[in-house]
Amino acid sequence: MASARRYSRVEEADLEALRGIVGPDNVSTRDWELEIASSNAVSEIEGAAEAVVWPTSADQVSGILRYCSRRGIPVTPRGSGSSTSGNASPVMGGVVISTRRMNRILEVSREDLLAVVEPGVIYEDLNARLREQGLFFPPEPASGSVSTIGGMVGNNSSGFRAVKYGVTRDYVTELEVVLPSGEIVRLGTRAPKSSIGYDLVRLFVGSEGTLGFFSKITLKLRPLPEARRTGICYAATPERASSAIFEIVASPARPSAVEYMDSRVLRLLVDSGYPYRDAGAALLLETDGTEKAAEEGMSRLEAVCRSKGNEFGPVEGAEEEAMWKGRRSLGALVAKLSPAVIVGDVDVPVSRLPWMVEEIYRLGDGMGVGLVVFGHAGDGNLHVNILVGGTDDAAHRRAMDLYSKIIEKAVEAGGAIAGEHGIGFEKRPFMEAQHGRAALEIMRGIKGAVDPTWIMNPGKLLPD
Amino acid sequence: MDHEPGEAAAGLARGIRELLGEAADVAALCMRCGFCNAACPTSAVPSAYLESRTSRGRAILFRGLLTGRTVDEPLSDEVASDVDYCMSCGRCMNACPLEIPIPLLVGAYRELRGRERGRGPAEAVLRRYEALDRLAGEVPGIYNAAAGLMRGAAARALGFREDLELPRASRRRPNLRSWEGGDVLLLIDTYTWAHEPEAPEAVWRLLTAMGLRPEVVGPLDHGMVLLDLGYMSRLKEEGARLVGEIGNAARGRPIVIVSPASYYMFRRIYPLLLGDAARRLAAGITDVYGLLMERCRGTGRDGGGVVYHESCLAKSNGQGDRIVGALRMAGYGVQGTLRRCCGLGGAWGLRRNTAGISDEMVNEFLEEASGLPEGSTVASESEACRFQLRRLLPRAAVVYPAELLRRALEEGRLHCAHP
Repeated sequence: MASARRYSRVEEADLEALRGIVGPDNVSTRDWELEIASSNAVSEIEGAAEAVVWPTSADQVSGILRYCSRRGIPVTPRGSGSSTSGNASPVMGGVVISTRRMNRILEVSREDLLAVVEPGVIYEDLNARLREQGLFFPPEPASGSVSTIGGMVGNNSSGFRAVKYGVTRDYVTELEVVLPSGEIVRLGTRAPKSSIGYDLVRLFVGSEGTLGFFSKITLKLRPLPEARRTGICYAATPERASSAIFEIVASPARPSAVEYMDSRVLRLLVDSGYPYRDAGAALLLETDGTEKAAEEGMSRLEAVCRSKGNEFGPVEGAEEEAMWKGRRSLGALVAKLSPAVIVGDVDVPVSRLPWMVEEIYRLGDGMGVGLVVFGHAGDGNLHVNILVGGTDDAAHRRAMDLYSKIIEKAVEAGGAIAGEHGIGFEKRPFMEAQHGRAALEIMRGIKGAVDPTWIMNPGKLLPD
Repeated sequence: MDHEPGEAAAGLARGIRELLGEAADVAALCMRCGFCNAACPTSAVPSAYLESRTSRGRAILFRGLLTGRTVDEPLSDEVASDVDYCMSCGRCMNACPLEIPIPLLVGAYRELRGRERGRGPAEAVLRRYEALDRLAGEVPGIYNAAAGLMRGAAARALGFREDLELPRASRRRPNLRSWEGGDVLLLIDTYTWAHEPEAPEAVWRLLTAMGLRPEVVGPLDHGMVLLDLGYMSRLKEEGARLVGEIGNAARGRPIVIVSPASYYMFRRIYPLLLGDAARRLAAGITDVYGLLMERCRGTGRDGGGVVYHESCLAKSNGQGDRIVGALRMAGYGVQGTLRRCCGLGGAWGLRRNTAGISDEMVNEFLEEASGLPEGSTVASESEACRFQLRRLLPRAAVVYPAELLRRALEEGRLHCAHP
């Protein structure tokens, strides 16, 4: 991976030093372990980890970062490696710090509606614990059964319920961060609100491991809804589905999920045994709240769906569970359609969704490159999965060309090049189009101030 | 082994393809999403902080091997001991969007490594477990005496855990009338035949209460231990024979199993290994709980409280909801579910090389079960779980769910309509 910066390789003396910090059993250079630590979910971006370490405390992380800063060795924090943008792959080599041994839920406060966790806690494990107290942490990424809270905070992840409940950034109120210098800092407060100067918590959330290592995270929580209802709105064409989305989102029903799936996605789900059916497109809908609110809300969404000439069906029980499982599995199921996939994640204002959807298909058809589209349409987020269709360079170039054009369209629509998957490695070339040169310089300045040796997850987020 | 780097990996990949055919190819599609880790009972134990010990780690190993990436020493003791975190329960396949058959890949790995490096004595003993179960059924006194000696140094010498306990053989066999050409086939596995005759008897009683006339087949082996140990060539041979015999006997009739291991092997594993004949047979495999939910109704009388332990195989087979549904219908208040794995995993946890992992799982299970009131009734459909739960929860009454349903029938809490 090209970069103007030069980094040190991990030598035996470095391994000895790392063993001294975390213990001899908690440093590995085995080829298999390195391959795992170099991988992502879906993304073909592979890193080249030279060592993996498993610390158990902020103090140990501090020792690792201080040492690596001094030696100029790249450091990549890693949760479950479920990123689809290469965020957790050590593309510049160096040391991977796994959070698998920092996985304790330290506190759940019902009174304050807060949880304090270590970064390696799995999203669903946290929610299983919170459920006992009638609480939940809402963002719900599709990969919630494996995503770590540290990874979610690093990536500002979200998912099905962002349309109603917002994204991870909205819930992080306090962070303990180990800076590249080894210094451990506390950012933010536990207060429900604050007006205390620059909001460094919001800066660090979504920084993709480029500014520091989150060793303790305080999250706001919500009371668990009493009930949820699911319905499916089948449309004859993508336009009919996307044109229903504004009214669904604007409805007093306040849907807790609005998931778009195109015809090819529906066929894939049917072929994979999930209880969907063929249509031009579909919206998988959810409402929540009290029993009455969830029920009435879904009735309102049904009315909106039908008013656009679409077909609606309520879904419950095993079918409901299977439909959501199918939706969660889509990111991986797409592998059945193509040996290589480029996972797009554009986000546009909801008013531009019909235009964006139409442009995506027009571009794909025009370039003769296959694609499927699904995503959290309620918050404008479309996962455009480009089917590379072959393993040769030409096929990849064609797919990347299409990807670039789709991203340009998203920016043209006033949207974001990444809604929830982060920038990682792949989207860096589009950062200037997204932010402009001046804003990028501010970002580089921040990076240089916090991480003067640029050891934290180099090769990610910021273009060279 | 004096392989050149890469040579061993390439040989292993060839061997896996030869053993598994197209079932191996899907592994190359692995997107590395890690959903399998969330389902795998061993991937969250403390010592599995090394990702090579997790389900996803195994998927990445096989993906790498089958796509030409090399691991320098894939057959080393270190790699093998990490692969041994797999207990072959198949929960990973349920969670995997692509249904990558990790247990088959692990089984193939174990067979190929066994060919290169030899096998331990525990594997040689367990390989003949069907013969041992038959011995247990035919001469229970001799079997029980021998089993009682298998502790301490003797167990260690044979590659088993030192504190090994083996299930005792029952002194009686299931006593069941069989209707040749009846409505359903009732498959009795060798384990319950030898050790827990009341389990097939309970299923038989429920079937007859529904007006069905079971043709009883067995005792027969389902092959789960061969899969777990990685005797894949033999498993394919045995599986083909069983599928042929049972297919001929069934002639399109539903086939009701007693053990969830039978369900797992006939419904999920053999179709992947053996193709069309096994797929046709799989379509007829069912359990008594589904039939009961269709044909019986509860009378509303209270049967008391039950705690349900969902075994790994029940999770893998998707049987749990049916079982809980049937228990509730029969008036049992299912007060909670023990979801943690009991740590035995069939015969997996008996071996010395997996004893430490098994103990980690037991610790987590005991923590979950710590609030269980004394005298609780705990239902689990897996025979290995029942054996383990009786050891771990000596103050609980551990039962086969069909046995509870049989009691409900006799106590008038279930009414079953004749078709």
